[in-house]
Amino acid sequence: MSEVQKFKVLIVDDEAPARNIIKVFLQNETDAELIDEASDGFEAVKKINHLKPDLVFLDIQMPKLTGFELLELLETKPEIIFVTAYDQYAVKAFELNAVDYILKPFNKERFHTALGKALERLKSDTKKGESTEKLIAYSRQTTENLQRIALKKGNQITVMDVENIFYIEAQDDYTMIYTQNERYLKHATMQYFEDKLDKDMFLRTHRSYIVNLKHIEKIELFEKDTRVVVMKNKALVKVGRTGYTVLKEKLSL
Amino acid sequence: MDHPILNKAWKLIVYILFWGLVGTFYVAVLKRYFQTEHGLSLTEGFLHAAVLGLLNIGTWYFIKFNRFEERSFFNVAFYFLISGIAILILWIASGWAMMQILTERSENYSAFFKTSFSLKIGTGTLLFFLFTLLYYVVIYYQKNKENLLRKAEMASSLNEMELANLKSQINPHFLFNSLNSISYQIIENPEEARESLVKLSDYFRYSLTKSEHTFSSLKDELDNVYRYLDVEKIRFGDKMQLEKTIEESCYAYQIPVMLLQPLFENCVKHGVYESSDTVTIRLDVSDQPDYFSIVIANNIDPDAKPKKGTSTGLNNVDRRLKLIYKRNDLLDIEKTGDSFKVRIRIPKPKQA
Repeated sequence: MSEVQKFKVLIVDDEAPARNIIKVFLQNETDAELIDEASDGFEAVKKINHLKPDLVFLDIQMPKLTGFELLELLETKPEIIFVTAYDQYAVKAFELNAVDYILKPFNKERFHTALGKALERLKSDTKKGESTEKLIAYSRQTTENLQRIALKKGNQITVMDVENIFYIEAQDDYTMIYTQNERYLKHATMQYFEDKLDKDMFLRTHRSYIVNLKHIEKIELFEKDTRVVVMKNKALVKVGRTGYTVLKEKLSL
Repeated sequence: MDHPILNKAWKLIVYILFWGLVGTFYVAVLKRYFQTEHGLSLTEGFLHAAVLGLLNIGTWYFIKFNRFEERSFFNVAFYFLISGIAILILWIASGWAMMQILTERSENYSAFFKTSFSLKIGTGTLLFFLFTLLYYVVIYYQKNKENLLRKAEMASSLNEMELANLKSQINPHFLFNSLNSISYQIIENPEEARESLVKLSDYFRYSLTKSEHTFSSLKDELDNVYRYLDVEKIRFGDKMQLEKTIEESCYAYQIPVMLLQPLFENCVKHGVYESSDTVTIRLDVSDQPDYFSIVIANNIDPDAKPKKGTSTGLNNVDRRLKLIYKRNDLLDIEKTGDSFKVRIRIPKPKQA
């Protein structure tokens, strides 16, 4: 018998019994082996980015970072099998995007159906993580106003209220998010933020800028006809002509 | 409300046909009983039918704003009379004026007008009554339909409320997650699994059989809370701790059934779920002269962001306390950066 390369599996769930049951079901599996487990979202992001597993069993409700938020912070794209107890919204999202998911509690048979499908995809090595990408796009589309945001800088993950954002700057496919003293790069478009951020708090003042009205100190004349917003931390943000009209309205000037 | 005749093309056509019929009938009467000549009969008959038809479309607006259920009977009767007379005058006068023009003020017509006057008054009054009646029927029918619709809506929203209530009693998150951990216990420790199932069943039996309006002793209520916490502890292990201090004398006091449950669920949902460190739930029950107080507190992870829908459980407790004890000073909430505390005071029954 030749030595078979086993696929690396990681389990993410905050409840020990829930992890254990997957561990038990994975025993004697010839194609897959468990390499590690994580009990919260932060730990999971670190481990997944570091160990680069092929397949992740991912719980959705976890402290601090949900399964969905976690996905956005991954540098590698493993196959994902979602594991959840009761979440009507999520189940609908999975079905629409053909992502594997299992509902707690589950039996060995259901578990192996999901595992089999994922392994098949890994073996054929095509469309890797494609359905997961679609799911991220879908959940970005359907969620209402963004309340909090998961950001990463090096190995440090921060989850914060969007009201702490000072302004957002376009950087090609990415956006740079500025807070009082920090900045974070995020893989998301300006359009996404414009749609998802509370319109009473945030305003797109310029093609490349979205500003948090709460943190504006003043508006200054920059050159003839152009203006800039001075933030409370003295940062300067460009204002376009239409942006200025709307800005005046919002600040009731 | 739309105009009951103008809102559909087919109704308008029927209406026009009806007045055509009235006109034909009138023409026939004129020729038979008044021996008027052919041309005059036709003009006189259809012109008057057309004018009265137009005027009676307007009758609707008068009926619509002159309803028995909104005004006094005499008021309605008075306006009814006035508008009837107004329509009659308008009809006869405009008919007369137009006929004057059409017949070029012929002497003949003036004579005929005098003889046909009472016929016109009779016909006009009759038709006015007829349409008034029709419009009242329409209004009554529409109101009835609206009422039925409203009743159906109310029934369905009531069903939704009951469903939401049931869901909150069952708490699907708790149920499915617990069953999942028990499914692991079955593999690892069947004896423990059986214990857990019994606890889970007892908990649900208690919460589903007691109605919202009954009372239970604090002892029974707390026993059910402990079952709930024991089942949650399978999932969270040592991450969840319970510390309690309870004055013995309080156990026998009566409290509303399942009053405390949402508060402990909040401790788990916002404390334990959202934290990666140990969360301790503190329960203190103390006996006071006029009341006894129940304090439920837990530490929360300062990093954890409060989730939406946090206050449903608390609002429910608040509402029930107000409803049952008719006082709004029984619930205190104290929230700091890293702790959450709820204090409930339950008045003791007055000694006889």
